[in-house]
Amino acid sequence: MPSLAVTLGPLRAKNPVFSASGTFGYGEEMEPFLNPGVYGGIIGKSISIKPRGGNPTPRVVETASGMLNSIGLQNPGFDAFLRDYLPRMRGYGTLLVVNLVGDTVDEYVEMARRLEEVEGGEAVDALELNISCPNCPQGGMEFGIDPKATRLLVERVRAASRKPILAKLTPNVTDIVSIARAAEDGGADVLTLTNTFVGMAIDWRKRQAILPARTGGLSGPAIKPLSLRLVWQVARGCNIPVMGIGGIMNADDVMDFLVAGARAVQIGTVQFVRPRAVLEILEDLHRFLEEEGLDSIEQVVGTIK
Amino acid sequence: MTLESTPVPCRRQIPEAGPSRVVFNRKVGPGWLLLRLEEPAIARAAAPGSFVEVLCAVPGSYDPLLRRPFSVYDADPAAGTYDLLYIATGRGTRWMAALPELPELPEEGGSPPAHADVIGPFGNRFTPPPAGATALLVGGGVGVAPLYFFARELCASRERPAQVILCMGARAADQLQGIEEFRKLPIRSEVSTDDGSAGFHGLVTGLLEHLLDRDLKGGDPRRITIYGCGPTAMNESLRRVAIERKLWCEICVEARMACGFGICFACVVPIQKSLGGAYYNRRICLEGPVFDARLLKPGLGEHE
Repeated sequence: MPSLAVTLGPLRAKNPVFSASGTFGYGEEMEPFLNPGVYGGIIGKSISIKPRGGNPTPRVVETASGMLNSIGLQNPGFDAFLRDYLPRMRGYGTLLVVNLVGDTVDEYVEMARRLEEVEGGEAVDALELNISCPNCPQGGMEFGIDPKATRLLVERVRAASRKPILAKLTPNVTDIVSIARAAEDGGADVLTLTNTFVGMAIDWRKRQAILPARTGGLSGPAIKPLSLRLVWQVARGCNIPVMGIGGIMNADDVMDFLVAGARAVQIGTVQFVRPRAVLEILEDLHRFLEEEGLDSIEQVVGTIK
Repeated sequence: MTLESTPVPCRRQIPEAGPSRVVFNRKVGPGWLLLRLEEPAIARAAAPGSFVEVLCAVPGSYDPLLRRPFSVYDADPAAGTYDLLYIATGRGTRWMAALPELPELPEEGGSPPAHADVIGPFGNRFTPPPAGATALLVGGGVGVAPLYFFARELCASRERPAQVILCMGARAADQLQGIEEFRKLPIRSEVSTDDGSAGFHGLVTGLLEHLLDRDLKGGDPRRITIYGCGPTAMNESLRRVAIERKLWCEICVEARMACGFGICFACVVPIQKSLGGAYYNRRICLEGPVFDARLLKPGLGEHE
């Protein structure tokens, strides 16, 4: 039987399909549909040091083959996360990644440091740093659009934590490779590419943007070609593994990202439409490997000619 | 390969639904359509207030991308069918309106029956009134859908309320679609129109106050229960009336959703955890859509 297992720097995942932050709640919401343990790894919704109420509604608007969101990082805050959500997530039996967002470098560092104190530092398998949310003044994107700030932030978290660090980058930059290299130089273990693309939808009759925040983050199949290009570019230009994310709807999309150079992927928006999407994707990935006569899905990574 | 390895003890049950077969899909008035679907698990689990999410695209197409949420208008667990009332206004609902109606199972080798990809039901339900109470159902637009389901349930229930009164509002007489279905039930049905072309001249909450002041005056206010579902402006107006008059009221709230089951955090409304407490953005799909009117924040968090 062909193997779907992948290595991502220091991480070993049983399969390459992770659930993207912000599209999975904290796992419990998905339990009516599947065992969250089937993913290669799960990534919780962004946690900030203090609770955040999020943005006003409407928070989403559908666009052609995609959607804009302006959720605004609503979350219960770090303390409530540790107390009310983390224990349940740990029981799922797959890699657990905690996604962190902060207003300041110190906030990221404090959360990373405090996670080292929970269960002797074994409570989570990795940290994902959200330096890329386009929907908040304090969404981390101010770090992710500047190589120096990216490097400094990753270095500081690196010094505070022994956990593998995933840096989740924004595509809303001129030169993503320079940001990716800065994260690598700062000590990141994995690069997550990418967060949503800043976009806008207008109701021209009302002369008004549909989202109260005016702009939002575009996700869904509309962005897949854009993300794929960035993943391909960064995978060639950096030495640490890349996780591809952006508009993946099925196993063919997963294979495209792997061929482009990603060692694993995250699925997001598809789960809003098909909450059991991961089950179909994993079955199809197995079938593809059998059809191709491959023993391991890692044989596909970076095989673009 | 076993994907569902160790089952996690799940706190919430959503039936694993197969394709929903289209039984019929017909016009019930200008612009309004009624879609009857057959899927026994959904029909069994549906309750007044709960909703389903319909994929409005052919398999493999990702446009339109998101499912559309619809309150369940009626369900027949014995027949395994459930009904959705909708207006074909947007891309998704226009797609639904074009779903072919193939009431009979196809002959062998014939064309496949029309199916819709539907998941759910999601959300909570209206709380039944105590025996002997007066149940006032206040609806506007397609917001009458869950109220019809509720009215049918109340009529069939052994512990019937003393009386059930529907207050249905519309802009004009020709937009009171669906009222005929309510009139077939053994309940009292009243209508209001903004332009006075039928029934009470004014808002549906004006009609409600009129009834409270005239017909229900002098009764025990603790024996009055109000259930509302409509556009946000109507819901807010109803919330105000219920709070001012200290009447027990539940409101089925609507908001733009992406998922319908709690993972996207789009459909929030500010709610108090308990009376007098702070407001938190709660997910309508997961903790609602039916909320105690006293816990809803004035304005319902509406930004526009």
